[in-house]
Amino acid sequence: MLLKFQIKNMGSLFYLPLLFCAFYIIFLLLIPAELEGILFLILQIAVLPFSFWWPVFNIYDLYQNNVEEIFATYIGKNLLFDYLRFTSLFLILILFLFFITNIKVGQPFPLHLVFLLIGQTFIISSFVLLITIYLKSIEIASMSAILYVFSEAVTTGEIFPWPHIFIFSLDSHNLNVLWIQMIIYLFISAIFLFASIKYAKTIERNII
Amino acid sequence: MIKVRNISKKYKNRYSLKNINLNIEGIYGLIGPNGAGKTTLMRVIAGLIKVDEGEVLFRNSYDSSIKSLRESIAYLPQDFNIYPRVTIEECLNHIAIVKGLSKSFDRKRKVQEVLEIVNLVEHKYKKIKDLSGGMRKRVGIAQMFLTEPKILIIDEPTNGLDISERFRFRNLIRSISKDRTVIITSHIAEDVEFLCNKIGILKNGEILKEGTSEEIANYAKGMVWEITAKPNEISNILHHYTVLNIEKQPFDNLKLRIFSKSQPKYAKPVEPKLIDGYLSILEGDGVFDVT
Repeated sequence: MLLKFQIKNMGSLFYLPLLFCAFYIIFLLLIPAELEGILFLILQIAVLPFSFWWPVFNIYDLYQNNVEEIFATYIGKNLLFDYLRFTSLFLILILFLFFITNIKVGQPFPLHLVFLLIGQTFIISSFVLLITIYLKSIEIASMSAILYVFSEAVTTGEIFPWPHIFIFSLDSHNLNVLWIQMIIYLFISAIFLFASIKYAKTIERNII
Repeated sequence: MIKVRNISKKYKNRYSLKNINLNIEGIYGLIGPNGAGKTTLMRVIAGLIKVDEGEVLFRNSYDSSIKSLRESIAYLPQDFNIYPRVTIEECLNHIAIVKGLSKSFDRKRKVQEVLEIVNLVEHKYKKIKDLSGGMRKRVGIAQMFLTEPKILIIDEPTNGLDISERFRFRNLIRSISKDRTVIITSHIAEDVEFLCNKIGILKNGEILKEGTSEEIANYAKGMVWEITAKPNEISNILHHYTVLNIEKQPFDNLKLRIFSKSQPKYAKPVEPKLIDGYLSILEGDGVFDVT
């Protein structure tokens, strides 16, 4: 019932990640199976970044309609559950797309990549959620995420001096360490989430 | 009873609240110009922001950090405009879940109860985006009663409402204030006069005066005048004095209410209202007297 309310409240915005998933499936049908590296790359940079979309737009009213005074006292537990609900839902989508990509390619991807996708989903969604809550701006947070993904895609994760979470070449990467990477990402995501809850409960920001 | 004791709050080395002392009970009105610090003070009282100095005492015990106390304070921000795509009932039901009413049966009963309080039962299937400003404010009041609040904090309750909605909403606030402490901010003196038994005047983060409506009005004693004039004399009077009100009279006459430190020619003194006292305190005696 809660999810039904949240979907109704988000309106058409809820369907944007689903739309990109649909685009990916169409792309999957059109591109030759031999280009499996490109398929996995597109999954990472064109679909996976939308992991932030639902958790962030779920709190749209909090900051865009200035009602944080009403919810600040109660938001902690709800924010955590809403985040986990939407991120789990998104993760199911991503793993489904990964699964059908495997079918298309014929030769299965290493299972380690599942760890990578899980870690990426959590780190992106939790980071953008934190930025949204801290700056009280969905626009700034979303644009930061889009700029990061775009610059990483253009530079293939090499030029800018910030952490690179996408893998651009499956051959040159040691896939055996991906589960460690996932653990690190999940740990950092937990910190981001904890900070998000803390900031959501307070309406003062020293920088604003 | 809420006692605000020596509250000070700084933002970037500038006081947004400076040594505030208030005794709040019944329906308390905070009035002041934009940027005076009204919303900051309300947030402090609600325990939503920390202060640099001072404390807020609830019934003589300092326990504003206790969770249950924070939950007994309900807040209605100035622009209540959430969840535009859902119905009133769905909106309240969701806020009830967020506020911790987990049992479906209790929640439904509570939502129905608060809809009755604000007289919105027959509109409960209307979407929030289709409501008038006044109805949206009533939904805002309804969400306050989903818990059992002892203290209601309402920021600019009549802001943005048309005249009839404003009167209806004022009456609603009066009816829900029984056995509760209500704090409202407003820049409409007439609303504060109607609603509040005690008023604090805030300017630049400082409380200038605190008292009943009559006590505040008395600060303008001897500064409010009435004069009868013809329409062609109006521009000259407006040029020399601050005219608070113009009322039509028989035989093409106009009755003017004037704020002036000195007695204008042919004017007779009248009893000041809250707005007169407020202007007098806010700007200093005679500041409107342009003679």
